[in-house]
Amino acid sequence: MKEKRFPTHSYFYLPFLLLLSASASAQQNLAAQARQKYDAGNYAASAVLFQNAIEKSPENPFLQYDLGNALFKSGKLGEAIVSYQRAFDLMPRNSDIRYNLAFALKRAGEDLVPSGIPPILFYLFYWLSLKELSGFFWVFTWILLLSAGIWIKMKKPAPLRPLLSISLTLCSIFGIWWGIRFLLEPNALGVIVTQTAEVRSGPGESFSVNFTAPEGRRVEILSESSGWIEVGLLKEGSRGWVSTKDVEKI
Amino acid sequence: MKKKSIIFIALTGCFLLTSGRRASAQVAIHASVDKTIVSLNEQITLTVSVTGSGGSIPDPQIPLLSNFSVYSSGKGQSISIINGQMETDTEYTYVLVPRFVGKGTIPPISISYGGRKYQTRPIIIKVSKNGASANQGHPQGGGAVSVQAPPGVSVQSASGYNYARNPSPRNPDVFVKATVNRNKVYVNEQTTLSVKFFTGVSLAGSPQYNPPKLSGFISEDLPPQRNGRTLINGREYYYSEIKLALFPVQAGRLEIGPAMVSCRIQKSLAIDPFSQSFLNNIFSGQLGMTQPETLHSEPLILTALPLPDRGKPANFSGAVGSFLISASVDRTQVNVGDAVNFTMVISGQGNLKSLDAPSIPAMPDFHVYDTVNSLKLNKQNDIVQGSKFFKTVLVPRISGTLTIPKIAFSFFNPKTNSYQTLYSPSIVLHVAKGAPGSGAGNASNFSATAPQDVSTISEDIRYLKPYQKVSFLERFLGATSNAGLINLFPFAFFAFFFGLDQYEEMKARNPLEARKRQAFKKALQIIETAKKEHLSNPKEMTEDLSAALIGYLADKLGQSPSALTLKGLNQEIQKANFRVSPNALENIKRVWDEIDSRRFAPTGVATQTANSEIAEDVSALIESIERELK
Repeated sequence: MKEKRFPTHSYFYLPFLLLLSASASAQQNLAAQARQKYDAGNYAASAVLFQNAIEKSPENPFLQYDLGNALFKSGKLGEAIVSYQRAFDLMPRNSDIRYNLAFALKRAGEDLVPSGIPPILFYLFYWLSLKELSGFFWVFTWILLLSAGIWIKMKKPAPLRPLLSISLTLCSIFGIWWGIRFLLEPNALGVIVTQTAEVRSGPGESFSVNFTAPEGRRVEILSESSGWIEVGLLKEGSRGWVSTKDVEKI
Repeated sequence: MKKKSIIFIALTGCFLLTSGRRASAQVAIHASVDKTIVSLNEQITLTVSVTGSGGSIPDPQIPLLSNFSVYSSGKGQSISIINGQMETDTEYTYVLVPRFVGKGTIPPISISYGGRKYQTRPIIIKVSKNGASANQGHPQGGGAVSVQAPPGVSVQSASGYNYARNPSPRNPDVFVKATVNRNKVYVNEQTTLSVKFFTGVSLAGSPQYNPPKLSGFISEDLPPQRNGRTLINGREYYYSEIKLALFPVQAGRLEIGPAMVSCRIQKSLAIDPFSQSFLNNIFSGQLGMTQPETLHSEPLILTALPLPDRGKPANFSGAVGSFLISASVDRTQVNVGDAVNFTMVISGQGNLKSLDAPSIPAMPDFHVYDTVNSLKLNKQNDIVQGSKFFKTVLVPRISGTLTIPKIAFSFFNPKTNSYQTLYSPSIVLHVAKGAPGSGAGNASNFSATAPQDVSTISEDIRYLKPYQKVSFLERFLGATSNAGLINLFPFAFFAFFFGLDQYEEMKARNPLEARKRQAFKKALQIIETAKKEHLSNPKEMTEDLSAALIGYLADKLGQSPSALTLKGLNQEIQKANFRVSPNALENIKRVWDEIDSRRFAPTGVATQTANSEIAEDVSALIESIERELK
């Protein structure tokens, strides 16, 4: 019987694999410690540990969700909404993430589902993240173009046509879906993280305060100018300038 | 004189006999209301009068009137003092505000005295919803409500003598004096009003006491009645003192009206038993003639200081004094749905009656019932003090270790001139799940067939999620999304094959043109192949070179190679409008000749060098023609 041997070249990748494994393990440990702190009611310490875990894996929606929970329990509504929104952007179909974001937004006087839109349509529209939509679009674009090239090369055989049709359909669906989401969503989103942010008519203390925005209110970031950010309030449609310390970008 | 004494003793004996009969009389209690049909929120005045001898008759016990809001009472008292024996007629006044519509009952009000219990009859009240009149105001200043206004404000006695206003200069027989121990207090801080009735003569009948009119105060009686003897300007007086604790309800200058005492004093008649009118006097009753007197005390002015705004806690509800707070439950091990009696006790000195229950923070894990309060007052040293109990029934809704949070209570301490906030300790309850269907939480007694509704206790964020790595699909999609220029590859791939296809289609549509386009490349390939493979084989080499040259020309001229001859070349070139220079044409002929001469020459003539040279010539010729044609 022939003995299976580990390919020699794999030894080259071994340190990287070990490094990756160690990194995942460290995140898991941090998350476990953070969970212990959370269960003990030490939410501030829990938030710090979750934050450390996120630095190693910023694309993990579940860590963002957990961090949001710790911040919410610490009384930091604005920062909690930042984390929940990041988690939502990464995995909008997760019901827990959606629930907690809606819950926190309600505390800030905002609704996740805009009024007048049936929730089911909203949830369907936000079933996939922008990244997933873009990913699916590109995957089906690859499939479509490669299969089309092969189909042409092979003098257009009939058996390849269903593959072409399906990939063209999916590519179109995801492309249009992605395009609409891209157009409808604000370019850059932020959240008011101070208790009450004074929104001024210009970028400076010398400008009058037009209105105040409560903590946790989501804003569209329109422009920036030396320590000041021009924001538009999504719900009210008002705009003005706030200090950078009042807003955290998503 | 002796006769006078005998008559006086006889009269006094009769009087004492009467007094003794009164003293042995039983206690009587009677309750009445000013109206029995009211609209919702209209006030009802309940008057409970207790008549009896002796100074230690307890206050009546008001039963739990759960259908009414009961406000603090006032008390009016009339006292008869005859030879040191006192008979009191006390009227307790309560203001009731119904909290129901329909028929309700004020249950019997009882009093226990001398081992016996006396009680009133129940009173039926009918409350209608319509025509609800506006509330007549908070009856807190109920002291004033309960006090009967003096009949007129005259301070003149029936004999025309003003005893109250100028008692001392003339050392009057009877007078009333009112004093307060402090005339500057904070709002809701206690000051004690003392009303003393002095008499230096015998009285006929019982004096009627009307408390002073109190506006802007909450009053609290300070029993017992104090009696004694004192010397004023060398004259002995018998006095009776009534004390009231007053709590200002508003800041500013407040007036305590005059207290009024009505009495009848014995007329000192000169009795001459030998007078002709003596018998007439006896039978006409003129021997016992009395003189009515109405006495008033001086009104008093008191300054109520406002409570400072600085440092006022948010939960301050007006308590002034010195207090402590404690909290307890009747049990700490319960099942879900069991009732737990949670009792907060605020004890100390101050106006406990008006003390509001400390607010209980939201406890979503419990069903919290209304708070019921009870009062235990102790007026030792004329200071209103004691404890107020706030009892709340809590029913745990969920199992586990539940905590009743600490309760904050704030008050203003006039001794330190500052606000203080005290906290009751938090209490931990261990709540077990309990048997299904048991406990007060299941008080609704769901039947076996009736489905139980899910009741929302509180709303909170959802719990942490278990640690999860990002899935492969997610990472793959993320990577694809971020691939950048790599995503252009399929476009290039497709474009290549598409272009190729188009080219081939074009070739298929115009083969002559395609031959022309490929002629040069094809000829060079043949030459290169010949140079590589047949350099040492002149025959093959020249065959290849011939095929390259003639093939090239045939492709360009659109002719078959076999049909093209050196002789017919000129004609074909002209026919095809093949624009080459005469020099190039000469070169074509020369090279063609050369190749033909080598093709048909004997074997072994040509060397490798010669073959290589002719190959170069053919290449150069084809290249020069190609350049000319462009």
